[in-house]
Amino acid sequence: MIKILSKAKRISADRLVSVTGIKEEPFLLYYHFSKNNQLKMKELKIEVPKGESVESLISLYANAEILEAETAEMFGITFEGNPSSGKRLFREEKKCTGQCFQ
Amino acid sequence: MGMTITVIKNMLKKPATIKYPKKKSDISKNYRGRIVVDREKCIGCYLCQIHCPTGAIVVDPKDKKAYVDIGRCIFCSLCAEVCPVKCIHFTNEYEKVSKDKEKLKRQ
Amino acid sequence: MHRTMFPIGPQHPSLKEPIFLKLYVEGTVIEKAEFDLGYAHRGVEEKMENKEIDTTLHAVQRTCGICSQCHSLAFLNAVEPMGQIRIPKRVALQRMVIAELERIHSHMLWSGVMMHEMGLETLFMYYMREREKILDVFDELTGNRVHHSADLIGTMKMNFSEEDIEMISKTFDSMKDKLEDYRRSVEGHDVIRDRCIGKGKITRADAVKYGLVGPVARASGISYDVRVNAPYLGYQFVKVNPVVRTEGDVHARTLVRLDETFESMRIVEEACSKIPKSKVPKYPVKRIFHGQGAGRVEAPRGENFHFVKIDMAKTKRVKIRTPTVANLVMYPKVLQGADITDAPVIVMSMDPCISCMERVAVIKKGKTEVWSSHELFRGKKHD
Repeated sequence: MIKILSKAKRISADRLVSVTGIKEEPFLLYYHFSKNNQLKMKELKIEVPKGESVESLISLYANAEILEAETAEMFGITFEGNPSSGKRLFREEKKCTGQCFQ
Repeated sequence: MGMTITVIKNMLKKPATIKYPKKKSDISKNYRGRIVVDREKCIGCYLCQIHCPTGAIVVDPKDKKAYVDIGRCIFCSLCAEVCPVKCIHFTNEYEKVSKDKEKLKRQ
Repeated sequence: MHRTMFPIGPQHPSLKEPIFLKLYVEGTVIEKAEFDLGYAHRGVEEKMENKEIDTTLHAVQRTCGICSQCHSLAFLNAVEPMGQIRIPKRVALQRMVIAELERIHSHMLWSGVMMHEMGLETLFMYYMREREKILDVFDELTGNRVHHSADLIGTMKMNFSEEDIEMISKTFDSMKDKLEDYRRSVEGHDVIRDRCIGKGKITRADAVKYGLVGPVARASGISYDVRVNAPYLGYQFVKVNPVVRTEGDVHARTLVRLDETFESMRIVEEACSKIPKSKVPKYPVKRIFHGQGAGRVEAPRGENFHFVKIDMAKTKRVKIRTPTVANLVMYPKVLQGADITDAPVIVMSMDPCISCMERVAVIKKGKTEVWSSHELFRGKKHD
């Protein structure tokens, strides 16, 4: 499991804005934090090797529950400590062959 | 007593809607309606095809001129901005139906 | 004791867009609420991979119909610093005028539908009649009523003339008396007060703990507005006064949105008087090849955030986090303990915009492939 709580505590921001995932080798995760009076946001970049799980930030910021659950469902990572990680947010879809997006 | 006055006033008023198709509403002249390509000026540079978000405007490889498929167009006017000879423009006609489907695919 | 599951949605007359809310009811009191998403999935983020930057800008505006200019501005706030492009004063003020007019028409649409929830159909029609005048202003200024497409990287497509600014003033003059009259009804009318005061209360501590944004947070006592705390674009030239209330119930949220309408009208008039005589720069301004950035703006519903990654002059990844997602964690908690007849009014007062919220990110590895969410979760294409 990759530990990020100490890095996030050192940033000491007011709010967690978003959790983004980019599929590259290795997998990249970007966290954005905001302090209320500044225009630029603070960024935290984490590299996740294949098969590892990531520690959840839910103990520091309570709205991490749904932001991490969306990333977990899209990319298949597990966030340890988040009760919604792994739950299905989006309803059942039929298999798409590619013609529906033409 | 106040209710009677309101009811009588509303019965004598004209309806607020415009009776289309006998009378058409006025649209401003800047409205982005039907798209028109002037094929005399077109030089076949492919810039409009590269920039289109949906793939609606395509250059025909046989005669090197641009043709628009109205079913896919989202009327964003990016092709009109990037065209180097300014041969694409929008009229303000909003009635774009036709009985001939093939004609709508090659405007 | 018998527990029933009472559904609101996916299609329901009280919702503008589809969402499935499951309410577990005992008697008439709601014990627990859950939500289910995915009914307006369109694959917007998938359409924006490996495209030119101007093409992505025009596709990003089509994410939502009510709040299309705020998506365009957030994308530009993320992309323009990558190329060190300097925005002249006329472009900044013109973009701001369109954004504020959009805030006015979005709040009027919301007010109309809220009155329709409570059964007051005449007030709904009155708000829609006034809103038509703003859509006619957009038709004259930008060429379309909802999807304006007026922005380009570093510049805009048109210059506002003197006649356009006079038309905006005349429209506002014809609307102000009626809007003040309707606001007096909303504040003082007995039926509206009985249905709104004390319902759906969000305390200040909860709003800070869950990081809420937008008018929902400003009605609970937190004074946070991106235009005031971190001014961008034209808000460096015009000062904004945030509208804050402390009660935290449905009535406070209604009054915050109605007061913001008047504040936006004042901002538009002040901005129009400051537009300089110079014209907008000619297109294209500059090409951007590499970079990565994030930008945020104040949309009508809260704080909108975009993250953009550009490689070899094409966009590789666009991530959108809308204000509805930020407030989504609060929906089950505000419905708990409420009466079932208050549920549509409470959900409507949080102002969900579901079509902004649902997109899908599809990973491409060189060739065109489309993955469903099943395959994404498992990490491979075929089982």
